[in-house]
Amino acid sequence: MERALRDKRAICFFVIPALVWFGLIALVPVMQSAGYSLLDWDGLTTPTFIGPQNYVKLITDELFIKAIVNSFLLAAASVFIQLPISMLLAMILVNGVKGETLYRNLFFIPVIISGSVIANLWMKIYHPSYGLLNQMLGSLGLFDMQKEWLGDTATALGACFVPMVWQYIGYHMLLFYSAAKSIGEDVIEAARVDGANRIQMVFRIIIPQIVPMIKACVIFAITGSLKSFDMIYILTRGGPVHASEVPSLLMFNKIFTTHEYGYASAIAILIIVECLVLTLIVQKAFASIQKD
Amino acid sequence: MSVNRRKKVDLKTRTHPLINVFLVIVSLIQVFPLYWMFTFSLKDNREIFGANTVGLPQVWRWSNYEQVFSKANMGTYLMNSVIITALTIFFTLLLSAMATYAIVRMKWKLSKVVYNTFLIGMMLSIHAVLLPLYLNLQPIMSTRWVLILPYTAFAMPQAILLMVGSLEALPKEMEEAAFIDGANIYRIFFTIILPMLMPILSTVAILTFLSSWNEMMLAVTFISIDKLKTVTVGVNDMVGKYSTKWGIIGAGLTAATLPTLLMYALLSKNVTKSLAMGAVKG
Amino acid sequence: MKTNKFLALLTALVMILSVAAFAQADEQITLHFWHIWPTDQMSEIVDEYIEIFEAEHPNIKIEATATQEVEYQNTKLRIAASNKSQGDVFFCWGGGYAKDYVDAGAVLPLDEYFEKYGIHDQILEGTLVNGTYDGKIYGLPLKQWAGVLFCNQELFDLYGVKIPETWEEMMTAVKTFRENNVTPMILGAKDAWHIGMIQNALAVRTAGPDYVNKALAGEATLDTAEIVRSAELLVELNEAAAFPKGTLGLGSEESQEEFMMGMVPMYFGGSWVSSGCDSPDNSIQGKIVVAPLPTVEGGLGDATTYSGGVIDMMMVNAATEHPDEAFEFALGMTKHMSEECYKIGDSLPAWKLPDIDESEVSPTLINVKNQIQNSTGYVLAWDTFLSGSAIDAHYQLLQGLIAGTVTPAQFATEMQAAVEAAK
Repeated sequence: MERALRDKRAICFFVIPALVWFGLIALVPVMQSAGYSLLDWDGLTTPTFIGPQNYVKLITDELFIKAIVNSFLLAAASVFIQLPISMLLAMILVNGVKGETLYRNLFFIPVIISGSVIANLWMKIYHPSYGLLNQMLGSLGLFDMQKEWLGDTATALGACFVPMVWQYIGYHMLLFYSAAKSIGEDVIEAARVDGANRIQMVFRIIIPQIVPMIKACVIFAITGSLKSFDMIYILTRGGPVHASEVPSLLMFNKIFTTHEYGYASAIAILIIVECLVLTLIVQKAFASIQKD
Repeated sequence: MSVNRRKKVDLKTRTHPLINVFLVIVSLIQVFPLYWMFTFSLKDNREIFGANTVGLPQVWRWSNYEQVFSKANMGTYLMNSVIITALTIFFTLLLSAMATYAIVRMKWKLSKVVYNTFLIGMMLSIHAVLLPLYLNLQPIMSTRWVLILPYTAFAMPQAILLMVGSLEALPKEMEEAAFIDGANIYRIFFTIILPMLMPILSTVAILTFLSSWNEMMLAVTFISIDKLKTVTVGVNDMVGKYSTKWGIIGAGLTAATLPTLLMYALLSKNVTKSLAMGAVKG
Repeated sequence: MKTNKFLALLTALVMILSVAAFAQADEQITLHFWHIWPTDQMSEIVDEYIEIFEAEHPNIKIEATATQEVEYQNTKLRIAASNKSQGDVFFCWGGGYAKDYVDAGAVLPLDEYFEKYGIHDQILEGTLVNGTYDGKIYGLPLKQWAGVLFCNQELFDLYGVKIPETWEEMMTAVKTFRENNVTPMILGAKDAWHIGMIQNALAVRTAGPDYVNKALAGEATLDTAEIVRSAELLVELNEAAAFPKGTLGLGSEESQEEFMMGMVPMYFGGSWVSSGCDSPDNSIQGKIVVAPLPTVEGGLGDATTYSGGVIDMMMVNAATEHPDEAFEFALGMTKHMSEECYKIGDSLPAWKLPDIDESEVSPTLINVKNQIQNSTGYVLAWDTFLSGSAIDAHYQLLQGLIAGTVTPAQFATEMQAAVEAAK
C-alpha cells in the first residue's frame, strides 16, 4: 500500500488534470496581469515598461486607500455580523427544532439567487419614493428615518452592505450546519450521557469540532468581501462621489472608463496580495487556537 | 436502526417559544423581499407608484410574464446556463476529488506545495484574469467552453479546500482493507473514495452551481452570439431595456429566479440526505 | 395577401435557383455585424435590413451580434479592438470614443467609398464632423440628436406656470412646482452623463457653442467664468430642489419614468426622449411641448444653439477580409436605420430622406426637428467628445456638484486640468 501511495504515475494521473487546468486558466493569466501591472498601456497602443511606478502611484492614491478601507469595513461586517448570525441559526437548527428543514431552506434561498437579480431587487427596495424600505418606514410613521439610501454619501456604503450580508447569511449557515451535522453521533451521545445541556453542547462539543469549517468560512467571508463587485456595481457604481468605492470596482473603472490597463492590473495584483496576507493571518490565528 | 435512534433524541428536545419567534422573524427577513419581488412582478407602474407598493396586486398582471417570455429568449438562455453549469460542476467535482485524493492520501514531496498553490486560487479574483483570458482564449471565443474553462478553474480551489477537510476526517480502514484485497489505486479512488466523499461533493456541487450560474462579467464579455448567452446576461439585457417598467423587471427577475429555486429544491434533498447519511455513518 | 406571399416566395425561389446556378464560383462569405440593440423595436429594424441585404446578396451571410450598450461600450468593443477582432461592420460612437480605435488602426478609412458611392450629396451637412480624424472619414453617420426641454403642458396649465424662456422664468417655474409638492424636473444623477446633459447645455448658453467646441478640442481653456457660471446654474437648480429626491441614487431611466407617467413637468433630454412621449404605454401622449433650454442673461449662446450632433456611427473593421461587401452592408444598414429610427421617434435623421412619409413619424420628434431648424450651433455631450480619464473626471465633478462636495469654480479648474492630463 505504501508503494502504491508513492506511485508517481498515479500521482500524476490524479493531480495533473486539475493542476494544468487551474494553472493555464487561472494562474498564468494572473501572472500576465502581474506583467501588465509594470506597463503603461491603454490596451490599444504599444505598451511601455515603467517598472513599479503604477504601484507607487496606487499607494498614494487617496481614492484607492478609500476603496481599501471600504472593503475592510465590509470584511469586518461579514466576519462580526454575518458569521455570528449564521452560527446562531446553524446551532439552533442543529439542535433540532420543528421545521428544521423548512427553516434551513428559507434561510438559504437568497444565496441561490443571482447577484444581479438581488442587486436589482434591492435597488427597488431602496427607491427613495416607492421603495419597500421607505414605504414601510412611512407606514410606521418613522418619516425621519426615511433616507435617500443609495443617493446619500452618508448611507450609500451601508446600504450596499446590507444586501450582501443578507444574501450570504444562509450560505455560512449551511456550511456550519453541515459541518455540525457530520460530527459523530457517538460524540454527541457521550456528551448527552454526561448531562451537558444544549448550550454547553454547542460551546463545548459542536463549535470545537467544527473549527476547520469556521476557519474556512472566515476566509470565504474576508476574501469574498475584498473581491466584492457585482452588488455595488449595480447598486451605486461606487458612488455617489466614490462613497461606496471598492478596489475591484475601481479596477474595473480604470480598465473600462479610463483605459489605464497597467494601473488597473496593479490594483488587481494588490487585491490578490491583500487577500493572501489576510488569509495567512487567519490561518495563523486559527493554528494557535487549534493548538490550545 | 441508527436513524431511528437519532430521531428519538430529537423529539425529546423541546424548543423555547422565543427561539421559534426568532426563527420566524429571520425567515421573514430572508423571504419578504422575494415575496415583494413576486408581487410587483404582477403590477404596473401606476399601482406601484400609487398607494399599493407592498400589498398584493389589485389585478394580477400575468401579461408582464408574457412580455418577458415573448420578447426575450428565456428558454435558450436557460438551456445555455444549464449546459454550462452542469459541465462546470462535473469537471470541478471529478478533477478536484482526484487532486484531493493525491494531496491527502498519497505520499509525495510536492503535496503541500500543490495544495497551497490551489489555496492561492482562493485569493484570485475572476476580474483579475478578464483581459489576459480574453486574449488567450480567442480561438474558442463564443463557444460554451470559453466559460466552462474559467468557471471550473475558479471553482477548484474552494472545492479542494472543502474536500481536503472532509477527506482528512475520514478513516482509512476501508481503503486499507481494499488494498489488502488487491484493488489498485484507481479502483480504490473511484469505488471507495468518491462514494465516501458524496456528502461534501453535493455541497461543492451546490456551491459551484451558484458561482457559475450567477457569473456575469465573463459571460457578457466572452459570449457574443445570442444563441449562447446565459440567463444572467439575458436578465441583464432585459433590466437595461425595461429599467423603467417595474412590473416587467419584477417578472424578469422572478422568471430568472424560479429555475434556480427549482434546481435547489432538487439538489437540496440530495444534500440533506447525504448530510444526514454522513452524520449517521460518521 | 395570399397571392402576394406566394409570389414573393416564388420570386425568392427563382432568385435563389438562378443565383445558385450562376454563382457556383462565387464564394460564400460571412460578414460579422456588431451592434447594441439586443431587444425590441431596434432589433427588429436591424433584422429587417439583414433579411433585405441577404436576399439581395445570396452569397453573403450576415452574422449579427447584439450586446447591451454599456457592456459593448466599456468592455466588449474595447477588448476586441485591441486585436481588431470586432465585427467586420460595427456600431461605434464618434468623437473621443472612436479616436483610440482609429489611432490603433482598427478602423477602415472610408473616403474612397464616400467618393465612389457619392455619399456626400446624400447626407445632411455637418454630420461627418465627429467621425473624421486627421482629415479622413471613418464613420457613416447613423443619427443625430439635440438636447431640448420637454414640458408637460397639462401640468404647466394646472399650476399656472409659463413654459420658461429665460433663466428667471425657469427658477420661478421650479419654485412654483415645488411649492405644490411636484418634483419640477427629471434627473437620474447616478448616471453622471444625465447631469452632464444639463450642465453641458447650460455651457452652450453661457459660453456659446464655438467656444465650448474649441475648449473641448484643447484650443481654448475650460476654466473660464462662463463655464463656472454653467456649473453655478446647475447648482442653483439643485439647491432649489428642482430634481427628484435621492437623485444621486437613481439611474436616468428609472428617474425618467415619473415624467413618462405625467407626474413631473420638465425633462431636459435628448431627442430620443420623443418616442417615450408618444408611446401609448405612457400617459403623456399629446401633452408634451418642446422648447429650447431657457436663455441665460449675458450668455454667449442664444436660443438657437443646442447641445447635440452626430455621435452614433457605423464603422468598418480595418482587418476585414471583405471591405467592399462590408462597406456596402454598412451603408445600407445606416441608411435603413437612419430612416426607421426617425420614424419610431428614436432620433433625428443624419441623411436626406426625400421619400419619407412624416405621418409615420413621432409627432414630438417632428416638433424637435422643427425646433432646431433654425439652429446656429451644436456642441456634443462632453463625455462623447472627451476620452479616457477626462470622462471619468467629468463624471465625478458633475456628481460632486450635485452632492455639494465640489464648487463651480473647482469644477471648471479641474475639468481643464483633466482635459490637459488626458492628452
